[in-house]
Amino acid sequence: MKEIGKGAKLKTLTKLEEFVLLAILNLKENAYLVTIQEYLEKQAANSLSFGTLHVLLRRLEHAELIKHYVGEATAKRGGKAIKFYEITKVGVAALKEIEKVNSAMWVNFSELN
Amino acid sequence: MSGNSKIWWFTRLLLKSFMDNYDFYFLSGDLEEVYLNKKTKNGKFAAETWLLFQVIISLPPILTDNLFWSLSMLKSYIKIAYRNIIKNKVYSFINIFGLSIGLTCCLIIFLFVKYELSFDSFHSKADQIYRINSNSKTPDGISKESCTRFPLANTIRNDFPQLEAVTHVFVQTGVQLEVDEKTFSQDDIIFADTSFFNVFDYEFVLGSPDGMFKNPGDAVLTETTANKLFGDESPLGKTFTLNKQLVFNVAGVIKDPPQNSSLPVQMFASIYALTNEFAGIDLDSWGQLHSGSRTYILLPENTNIESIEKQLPEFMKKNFPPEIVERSKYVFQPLKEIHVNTEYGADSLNYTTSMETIVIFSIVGLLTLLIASINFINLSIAQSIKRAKEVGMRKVIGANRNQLFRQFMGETFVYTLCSFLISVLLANLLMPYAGNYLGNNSELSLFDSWEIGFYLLGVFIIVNLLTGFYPSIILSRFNPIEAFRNKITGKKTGVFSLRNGLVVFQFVISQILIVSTIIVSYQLEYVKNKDLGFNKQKIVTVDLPDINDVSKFKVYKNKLLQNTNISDVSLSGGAPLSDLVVNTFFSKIPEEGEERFNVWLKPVDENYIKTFGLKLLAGEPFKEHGEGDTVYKFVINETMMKKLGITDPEKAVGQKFKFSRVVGQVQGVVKDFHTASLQSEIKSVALSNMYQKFFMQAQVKIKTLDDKAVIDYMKSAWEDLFPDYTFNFNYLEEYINNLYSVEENFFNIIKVFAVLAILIGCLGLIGLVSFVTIQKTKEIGVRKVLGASVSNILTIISKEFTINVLFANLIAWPVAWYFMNGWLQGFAYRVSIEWWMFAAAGLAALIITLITVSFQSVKAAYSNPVEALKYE
Repeated sequence: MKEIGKGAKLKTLTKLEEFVLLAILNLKENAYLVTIQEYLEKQAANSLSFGTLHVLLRRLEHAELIKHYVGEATAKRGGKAIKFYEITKVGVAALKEIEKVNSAMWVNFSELN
Repeated sequence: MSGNSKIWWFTRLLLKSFMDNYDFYFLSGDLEEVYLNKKTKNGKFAAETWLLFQVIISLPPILTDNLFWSLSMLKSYIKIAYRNIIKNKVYSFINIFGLSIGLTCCLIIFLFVKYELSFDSFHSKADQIYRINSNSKTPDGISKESCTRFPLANTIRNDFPQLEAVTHVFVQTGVQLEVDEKTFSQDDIIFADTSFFNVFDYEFVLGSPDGMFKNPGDAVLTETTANKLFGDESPLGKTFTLNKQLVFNVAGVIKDPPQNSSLPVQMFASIYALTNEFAGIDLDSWGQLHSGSRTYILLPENTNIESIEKQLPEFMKKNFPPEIVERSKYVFQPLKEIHVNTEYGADSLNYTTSMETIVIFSIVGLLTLLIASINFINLSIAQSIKRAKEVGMRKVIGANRNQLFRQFMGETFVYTLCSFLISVLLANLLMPYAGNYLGNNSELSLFDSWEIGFYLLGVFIIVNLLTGFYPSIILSRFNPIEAFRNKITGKKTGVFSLRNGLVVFQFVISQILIVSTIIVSYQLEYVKNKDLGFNKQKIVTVDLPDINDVSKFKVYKNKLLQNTNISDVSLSGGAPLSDLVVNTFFSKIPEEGEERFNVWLKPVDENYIKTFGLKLLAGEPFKEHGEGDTVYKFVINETMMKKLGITDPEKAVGQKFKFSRVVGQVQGVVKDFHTASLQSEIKSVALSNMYQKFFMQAQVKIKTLDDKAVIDYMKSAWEDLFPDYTFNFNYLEEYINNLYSVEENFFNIIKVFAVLAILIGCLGLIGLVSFVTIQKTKEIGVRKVLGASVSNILTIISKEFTINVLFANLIAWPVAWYFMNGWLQGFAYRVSIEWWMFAAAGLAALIITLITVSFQSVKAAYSNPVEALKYE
């Protein structure tokens, strides 16, 4: 797989990182730590700790696959603002790459059924 | 954050330490959101449990991440540190050099201490082995001996069946050994019984320890000895003779045992070979107490020595008559303690090192390291003032305090790593010399064992924290605005007073060391030059062979006297000050139950008093011993005379007293002379010409400057008369000087550390002075503009340091007095501590300080005031 991101520390994406990226993609405007965690738990039955997820997001952001913006402060979290994430162009490109590889690898799978 | 709930406090405590504020703000928001949801749905308890669980499982990934980023920042910090080292070459050199010296000392001392503490630990059961010592009451106090009577081992074996093993050894040194036609003088022979190798571990190269020594002809050699005796041939089965009487078969060869043993050995032989004819030993007799006889026991695993000690009184009662039970007592001494206990050091087989020496060493080592670290701190802070702008700039760009702290810790890391590598190399290079210098000839190296690696790592981390922590805090604390306005001088942050305190501390230590050096050298000078009461110059002692033939000795003596360069020859049981001692007792006549006193008997001939120039106060010297002499006449010293209750020497002549088992009569009184090193008081001594069979030595007084020709003459005369025995001679003066080798070592060590402490202290001073001159740049400039001279400015700068030195001296003097007074108490004859010793040390420190200070401050004083003021 090609190198992803410019200042990238991540050469390839792990399955977990791929899932996080997809979660952010699917959650659209509502992607932040809590929702991403819930989404992964529901869709992938993968219950991550906040710490693990936090570190993952930090790394993805450092690799410029995602970026964050700060939302409005809300009362329901003790008056603290939310740090929302969105996918960057590099992130989208990386996902496309994964999709391409995956479909190439899975191409004959449906015939087995 | 919801309220002040404990759980939130805990969360904050754990997470905030490892995250920056920005991240923590959002993460805690996220956590709180879920927490509040759960609280409304499942109740407070469930929510708190969830939170706690969440925090705990979140920590490991956050920590790992943290470490990852720190390491990548480390690279940048190391780069910056490297640039800084290159930029300030002089400072970096002083920094690294100073710290390296301290570290090297510390490492060498560590090795030394480790070696001294490692004695006898190579035996796998070392912790279960005890030596039996005997303490017995004598009129002069308790006499402590490590030798035991021959049958003790067997008796103990019978009465304490629970012991795993009991072994009895007999040690002899300087024994004549013959292989084929060749003769050798063999040292460190251990005569051992069959249990010996059950207790002690030696590695056999040839043969096996099983059943060894059952045969009285069995002998085991070390590899070196085997090589010495038999060269490259296989020694197994070969025979040799000891003292022309005992024939031994080599039944085994062991690897050379480590030197750190309280039982130095070059050869083992079966103890059952010892007979009455050989060295007059009767293994079944309780009557003899020989200094070479030792008994060791091996305790079963998990047994307490106290359980054995408890049975001792009963054992004593059963085996010994009441007067012995009352007077003496057996003591079990752990094997590993033998080396570090000097109480039983007098008849020790290897040298002993007192625990105090080891502790003093460790303290000195740690102090040197501490001084070096303080020095490092001082220099770092002095440097940091220069870097205030860098810190300001970093802070403006967005570095937080933590990051700056880490950066400066990283720089310290680079500095300490450099010093550390240098000192590890240096210590390893110096170790052979140091071992020699410290007098223990240890062969340790830093790369010997992995434990040392742990120690090194520990020292490295400690030094890193010690040197980096404080300067990093100071540096990261700088306010950027003040930094840019040149406002940072150190005074405001309270740095200066602490730095001053550290400098004073350094001076205190150097001062203590200087005072100690002066006092120790003075005392050593004193003990070496003190009139011992007898003549020690140009006297050569010759060990007489182990034959009971006085007439042959006399032939030798007369032959020596024929040489015109020999002025006197005497035959005796030992020089006035000698370790050849016959210890016995005397008491007054007539009453029964009169107190018994210890006395040293010196078997002498008629020349003795003249040869050594002993001063006869009353009575007559000895005449030649005749066959008809039956009265035991003695020449006693003043100490003994006083014990007899007589004060006037004239009146003492003719006095009768009980001496050992005979009645003695005073023939004369000599002035007191020293009988042992000046550490101990003068003993009662009785000279007599009746005990000629105890002659051990010939003392030869030489007239000329050319000793060699005379000694050659003595040797050739010896070879004519005693062809089977080797000629051994010593200079008496050399022997006496060697008595103080421990003190000499102590002096050497203090000397070195005094020099090092001063050196490191001076390096620190240079740092501090440059700090002060930077701080006072403007002041100096203004003063110069207003007309101050160079000397005025020098005075201003030096004043503070002078006060520091004087203050440090005041602290150091009582401490030094206390320690040195304690040290001097070890000498029965000692110098008194005088005020000038302190004054001289103080003055020395002051002069050194002023020289160092002026070195830097002259530069400041000569600087152009325009330079100093133009930035305003």
